[in-house]
Amino acid sequence: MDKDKLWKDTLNLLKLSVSSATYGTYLVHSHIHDLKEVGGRVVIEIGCMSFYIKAQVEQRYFGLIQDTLSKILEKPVDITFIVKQSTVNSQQSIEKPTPLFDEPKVNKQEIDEAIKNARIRPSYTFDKFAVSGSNQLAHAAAEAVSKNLGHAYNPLFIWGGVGVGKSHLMHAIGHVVVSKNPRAKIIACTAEDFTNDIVDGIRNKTTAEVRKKYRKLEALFIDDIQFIAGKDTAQEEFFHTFNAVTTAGGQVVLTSDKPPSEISKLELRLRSRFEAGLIVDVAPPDFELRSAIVQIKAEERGLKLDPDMVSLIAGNIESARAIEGFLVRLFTDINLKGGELTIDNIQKIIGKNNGLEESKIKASPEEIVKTIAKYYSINKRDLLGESRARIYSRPRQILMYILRTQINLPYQTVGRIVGGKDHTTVMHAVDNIQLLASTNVDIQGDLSGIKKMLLG
Amino acid sequence: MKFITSAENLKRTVSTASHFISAKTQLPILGNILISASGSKVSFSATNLENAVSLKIPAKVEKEGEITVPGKTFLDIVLNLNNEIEINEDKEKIKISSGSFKSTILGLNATDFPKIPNTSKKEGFVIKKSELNTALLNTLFSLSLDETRPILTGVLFDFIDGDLYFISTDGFRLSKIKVDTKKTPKDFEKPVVPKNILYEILKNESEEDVFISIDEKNGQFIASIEDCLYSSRIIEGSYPDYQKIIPDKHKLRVVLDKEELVKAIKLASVFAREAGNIIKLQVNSHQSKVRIVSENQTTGSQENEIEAKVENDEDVKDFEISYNYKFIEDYLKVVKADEVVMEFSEESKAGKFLDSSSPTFLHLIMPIKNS
Repeated sequence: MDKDKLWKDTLNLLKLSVSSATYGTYLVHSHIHDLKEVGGRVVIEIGCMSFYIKAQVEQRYFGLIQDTLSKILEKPVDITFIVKQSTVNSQQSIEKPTPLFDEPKVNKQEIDEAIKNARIRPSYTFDKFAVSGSNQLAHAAAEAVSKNLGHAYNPLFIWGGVGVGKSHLMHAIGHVVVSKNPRAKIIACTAEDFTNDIVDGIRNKTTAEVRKKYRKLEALFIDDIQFIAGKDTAQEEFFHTFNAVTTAGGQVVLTSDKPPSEISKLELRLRSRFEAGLIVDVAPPDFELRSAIVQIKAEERGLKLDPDMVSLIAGNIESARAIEGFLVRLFTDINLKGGELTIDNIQKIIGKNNGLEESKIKASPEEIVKTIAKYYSINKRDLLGESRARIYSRPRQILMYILRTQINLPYQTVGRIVGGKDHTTVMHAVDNIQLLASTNVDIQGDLSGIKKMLLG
Repeated sequence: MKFITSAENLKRTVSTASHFISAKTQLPILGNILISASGSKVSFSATNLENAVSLKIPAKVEKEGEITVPGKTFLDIVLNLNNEIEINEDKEKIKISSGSFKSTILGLNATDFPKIPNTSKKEGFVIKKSELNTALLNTLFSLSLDETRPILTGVLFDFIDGDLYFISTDGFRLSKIKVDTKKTPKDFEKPVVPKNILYEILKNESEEDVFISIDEKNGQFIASIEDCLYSSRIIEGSYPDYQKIIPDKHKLRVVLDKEELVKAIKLASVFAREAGNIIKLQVNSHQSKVRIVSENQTTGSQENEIEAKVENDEDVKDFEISYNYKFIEDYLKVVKADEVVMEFSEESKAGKFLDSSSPTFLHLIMPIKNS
């Protein structure tokens, strides 16, 4: 029902019942703010320009307006009044911003150039970083650092496993700094780059220049700092660089796969420097976060995924990087090979994909069988047997799923291992678990538990 | 209704109330003032449905009651009376007598008069009148008169960490001042209060404290000073994010004598007013001088140098910025200190104007871009 039209009709009728002065003063500037049907009755909220008008209309024209609306709608109507200025006028007033509030035109080109020079990854921004419980602290710390460079936490040490978003956060800080001041001196590099620069400096007798390059920075971002461990000259050079940057009020951000205390062959003085700032860890993404990542990455590539597809992917692929790889593959499949974007196709690619991306499990099929039997506390004979009871059939399907997707065995082989099943049975089982992994929390928990046992 | 009161009180009250009646209204009752007598007080109320006022004066009430009378007529009579005034209501008419003068004014029944608040809410905060006056003078001049952007036509009451700030902007300049409150205000939904009611409050000569409350549900702002109760609607909409446009750094700081600047601006305006109001401020850091230049292609040009204290960053030696002189003139009218402090960063960015006598008052003016 069109609120504006309804109100217009109502006004036309009301005009006949009240004096034109009353109409012009009280009624014409009111509007229907909200309208909903509740069990056969229509509840209408009428917005009046000011309290005085509301009080007057409510007191004197309540019955008249209610009757008129009921007549038009041919339904019983309840009305309430609120003070609310009509949105029609305010919408018109959204026009070009006045000079004072006109965003200063920052030179896009200049920023892009600066990002390139600082070697910041262009796509790693805070906007594209999904936050959940596993990385919330790290995200908050990075944001605080970006807002108050050199003062909030110095150094900021982010550690965590592969593809959890450490570098993303670090580079995102760089983006904020550059967008505020494209002329800020920042370098983002890996420990490897840093070491190479030092080596080059020694070889070409340009150590002084290398020092100048690193020591006069407003912000220094180094990825995978653990690689510096054990390299004495690089460590010493880094120690002095670190001191030079921080004493001048510059920010240092480091990432690593381990906390400083666990990096072996790291000089003690460096370790204590690292520990003086904030150390945050980023845990592997949970299912919800992975879903968010899938959505963000899919949007970047212009893929429109249904919620079902998103959870299917998030349920079956563990790391953020693997998700990206998967989406590249899916994108290629659809755009170049002319495939269709369907659940089936996604399932097919997941099957292939996992072999490539996540063949971390190096267990033999026998070990996997044993592990799953142990995980579910069932007899190995029952697991590989014929019983269709769910307590046996579900673990059996999971077994097939893992054998197929994790160690990449052909369907027939899987069938043979699981007590001489037909390859179609295996295919059905794998599909089934793939689907369940996207929706069923228990299965997700079981899968990650089993994987952990296999890896550990 | 029948009461006797002094002419002086009545004049003051009725003239204030008359500011609130609608001059052009289709509905006669909105051109009326509501008079109601009860206890030992008589109240006079008026509204134009945007804002309202209710004023009480002491009177010898002989018979309680209420009526409305045409505000303009009533005011014109009352203003010319000097003796004690007796007002007597009789069948939608009032009879006024004062000394030898007698008059009858035709009124309207009070029941049709819009309902206006007659008590303030309990929740609120108190501001000293002198403090409020300063804050209003420092903000009212820089709000917008352009009704197409209603949100800028009022003063924003911003609550930041328990402190109250008044903000006004017309999109070219902005004023911000902290207002000391006696009771810490609770965090209200930051209201934007229309200028008219604020001008009325400013006009009130009382030096008593002002109690302000905000009725969020009804979108209403209520202020009371002694026996006067002002109320107004609040402007709806989202106020622009002004915090982010306040520069936090400057490269150049100039301190000038206020009187000299006032004179120089006045002289510059002779040519500027027909040339887009543009004047140029040229800062020469070596000579510690500011040159004020204006020119008009058809009438002529002028330039004028005034002594200044200049502090500058190394990379800023000579600096030129163009302004609409009216904005600077408006600002100079409210500055109390003898010196004017200006801070600049770039010729295309807003300059910051500070008042050393009022450290929480900040004014920004956007320069005119050189084409």
